[in-house]
Amino acid sequence: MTSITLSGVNKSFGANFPVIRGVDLQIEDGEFCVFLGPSGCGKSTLLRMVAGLEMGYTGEIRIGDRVVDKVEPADRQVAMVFQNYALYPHMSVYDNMAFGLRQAKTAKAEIERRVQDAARILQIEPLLDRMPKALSGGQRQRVAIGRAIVRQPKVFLFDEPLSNLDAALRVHMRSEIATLHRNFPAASMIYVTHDQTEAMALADKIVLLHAGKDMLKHGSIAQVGKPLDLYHRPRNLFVAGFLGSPTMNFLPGTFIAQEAAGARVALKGGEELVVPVNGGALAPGGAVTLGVRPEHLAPVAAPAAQTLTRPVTAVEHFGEYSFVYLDSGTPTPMIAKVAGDGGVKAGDTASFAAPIECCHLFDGDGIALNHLTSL
Amino acid sequence: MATSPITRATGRVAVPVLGLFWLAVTTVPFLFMVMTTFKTQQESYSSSVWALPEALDFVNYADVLSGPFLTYLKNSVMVVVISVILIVVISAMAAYAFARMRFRFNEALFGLIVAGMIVPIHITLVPIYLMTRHMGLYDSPFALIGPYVATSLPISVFILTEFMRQIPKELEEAARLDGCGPFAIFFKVFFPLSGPGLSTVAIYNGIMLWNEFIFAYVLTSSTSTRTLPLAIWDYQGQYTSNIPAILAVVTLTSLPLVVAYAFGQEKIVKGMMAGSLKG
Amino acid sequence: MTDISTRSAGGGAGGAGLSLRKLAPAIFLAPAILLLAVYLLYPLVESFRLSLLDWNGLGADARFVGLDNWKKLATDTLFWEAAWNNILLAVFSVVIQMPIAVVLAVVLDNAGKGSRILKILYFLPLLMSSVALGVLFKYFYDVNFGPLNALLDYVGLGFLAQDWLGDTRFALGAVIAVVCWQYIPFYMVLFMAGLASFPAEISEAAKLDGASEATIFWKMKLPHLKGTFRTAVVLSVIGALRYFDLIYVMTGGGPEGSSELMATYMYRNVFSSFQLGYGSTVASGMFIVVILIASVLMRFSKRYETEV
Ligand SMILES: Nc1ncnc2c1ncn2[C@@H]1O[C@H](COP(=O)(O)OP(=O)(O)OP(=O)(O)O)[C@@H](O)[C@H]1O
Ligand SMILES: [Mg+2]
Repeated sequence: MTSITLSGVNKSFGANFPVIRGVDLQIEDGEFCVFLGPSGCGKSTLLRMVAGLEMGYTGEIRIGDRVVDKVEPADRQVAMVFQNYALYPHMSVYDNMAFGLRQAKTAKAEIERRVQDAARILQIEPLLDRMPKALSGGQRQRVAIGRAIVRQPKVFLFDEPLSNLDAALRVHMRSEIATLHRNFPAASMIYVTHDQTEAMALADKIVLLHAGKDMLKHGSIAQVGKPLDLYHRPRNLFVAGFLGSPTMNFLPGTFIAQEAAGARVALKGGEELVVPVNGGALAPGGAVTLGVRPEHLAPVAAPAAQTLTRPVTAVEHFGEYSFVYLDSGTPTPMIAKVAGDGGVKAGDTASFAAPIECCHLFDGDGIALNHLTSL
Repeated sequence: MATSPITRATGRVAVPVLGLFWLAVTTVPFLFMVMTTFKTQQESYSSSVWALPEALDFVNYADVLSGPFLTYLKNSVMVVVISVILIVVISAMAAYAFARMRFRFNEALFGLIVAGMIVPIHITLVPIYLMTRHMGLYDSPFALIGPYVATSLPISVFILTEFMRQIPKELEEAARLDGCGPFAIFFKVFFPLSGPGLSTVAIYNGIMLWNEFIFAYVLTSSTSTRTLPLAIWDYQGQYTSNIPAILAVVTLTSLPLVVAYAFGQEKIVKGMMAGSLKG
Repeated sequence: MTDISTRSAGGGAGGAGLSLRKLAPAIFLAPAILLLAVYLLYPLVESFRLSLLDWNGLGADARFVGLDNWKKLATDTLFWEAAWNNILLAVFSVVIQMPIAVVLAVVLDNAGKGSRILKILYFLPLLMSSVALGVLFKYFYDVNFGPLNALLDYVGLGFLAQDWLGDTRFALGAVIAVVCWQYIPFYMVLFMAGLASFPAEISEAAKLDGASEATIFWKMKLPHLKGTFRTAVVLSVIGALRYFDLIYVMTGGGPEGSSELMATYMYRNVFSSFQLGYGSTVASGMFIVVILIASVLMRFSKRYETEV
């Protein structure tokens, strides 16, 4: 009953500056949904539309079974945690958390109980009398979350809540937010980030958004799905390139023929690979792009079927693994992520197996061809 | 290292010399003033101007204070306090609208109000004089409040709008999510958060109005209704050639601000510079 | 969850909230606009209307005379001399105050510990009302009993002693001196703020490059103060064009109109000669002069700004 439904939602700033286009999206009861995308793609705008802070859109937003397009933010049963925390600087931690309840004329004892409960959950009881400026970044973050909790909302909204924290604290708070989600199973959460690790770690569902030209052409939503769906079955080049680090290798090639195991593709150097997708719609000789993630390339002793052989231009060692940079004749080098030191050095020629189930194929428009097997 | 010893030496001499020179320039008139107030009228004519008074005699002060001086003081305090409160509240409200609300003509209206800063108030003098007579407020200290508040609004709105533009937008949004309407946002979030801006506006206008002369001169005429700057004027007419007594009035009228200054120099300097440091 | 859901149970709660939000700007602006309309805009317009009348301000015998007053103003040498005095005041304010203020700002910038206390003391004149200063300096300049002439006498310059305020040659200058005395500290603080915003790394880098303190000052810090200069000039010119109090108290515009300013001339016409109509013409003329000069000045300083 606290599902969130967006239907045909568009938003522009001014007459000719569209930011959100054709969003149809359903977020289920109790789901942890992450809006992910490059900077400026409209993640915050979309979140703020759900919060009621951004009006003047077309389409319809429902929270539960109520259309909220004309409902004031405070009446939408949502709570929001801002990137810069937005704690009221002139109020103590306690007052910050109690402010919304006081505005709603909640009974004093009830306020006290809820604030104390939230403070206990977040372990900020000793801080209740402090002013925000006397808190560390992590503590402010907790108070901001506490302020959301006490309102007992049906939807939690987070706008890049961790981006002002240092790396170690970010990982720690990330797990706390996951805990929070477990503690409030009834509430849905929408979480905005441009950090794919955060998205992969937290999300039940990722909504990956397009920016700029892609948004105009295909609508705002690039792909919606479970994190591993997006990782293993990206729908297009943008999704494939956005998730994963280092980013997926894209190798230009031509389609030869469809076989039982999949589509046979010839790469520039003459190597031929089979990708387990349905290329029936492709014309032989048509241009395609083969995609394979650096972590899926496995070093092999000698060239063979389904391998890629390239000169090594550089190797970066990280101890546990190494990045091997390979000259692929394209402007961006091909990268292989290998265990240990990789056993190769710049100047060598190295071969890597591209396991058939790990290859992706994109047509001339950058759209992924359907895999023959589902996940 | 490249600083030649000569430049450095000149600097070492020039800085204190110039510093003390201007100190003398600043203080000599005040010294003359305070010293003279302790002289008798007779003494002020007969002895040398720069001679110390014969005795530390407070008779001039006693003389002044036994007159209607306290009435002037009371009027000043009343007019300035009421005006400043109104200025702060009214300009903060307008500033909030300009800084944070979207409505048609926002920028145009703001520009128009800010342009009011360069209007010479003298052009308003005659119409306001006639209007005040018409309203039956002539020769009442309350007649001053309207013109005082109105003429202070442009700069105050300007300062506070600049200030409120710095307050993060997210605080307002958080307040909206917490159930605040525009009024609650203003009174519970923006007004308290504008403290430094409000105090700047209060100090600046408080000092300006405390010293205001022309409106008070034109709109009031009796001893019982006039403010402190007019005390000097009226005493000057009354004592004519009793220089020590007149200077005692000048000293007494300046004293409240000097005392306030002793307590918060930095704040007052900042307040007096308001509006000039920006824009 | 009680509180939130009861509030939203009202269903269309949005309706009332949204219309209040629409009205909010009007409500917040109303007091300010009302006051400005009554005490600034209306008087401004009214002043122009009065400028078309011949009226002593008392009876109902106001007579519409069209542009007669304006024609008179156009050829009124007293008004134009007053305007000229305003311009002299503006020019000398800038020429005298700015250099001294910069020098003092630099002095205090280098004065170390003493700078705070000096700044506080220098600033004192700005707290004084113009009436207080006017009266004080009237006695300060007094021919017979004034300390200025006494001081000149004492240092052996007795021949320089003058009737400062009673002599047409000196009255305006004497008042300008007081204006400068009062306002130099203001501009000094302005320039101190300008100097303080000069990035320390730049002068450190310049020192490493072998630049002397003097070079850093002339070639870097002074150009850095350009914007502050601009602000200071605009402020001081606009201030000078509207000047009234101090002159009125010290000389009343005399002797023989030698220190008359537009504002004192207007005041005399209205409240001494009871020519409300013509006085309003003078006021309106003054308004036009001030607005013209101010807008030229701002236009000029803005163009200047884009060049920088
Ligand atoms: N109030 C506004 N007026 C005009 N343009 C806006 C406004 N708010 C956002 N935009 C523009 O809309 C686009 C989307 O902004 P949004 O803040 O939603 O992006 P985002 O995905 O959250 O980016 P980031 O990761 O940098 O926070 C941007 O190009 C931004 O410049
Ligand atoms: Mg954002």
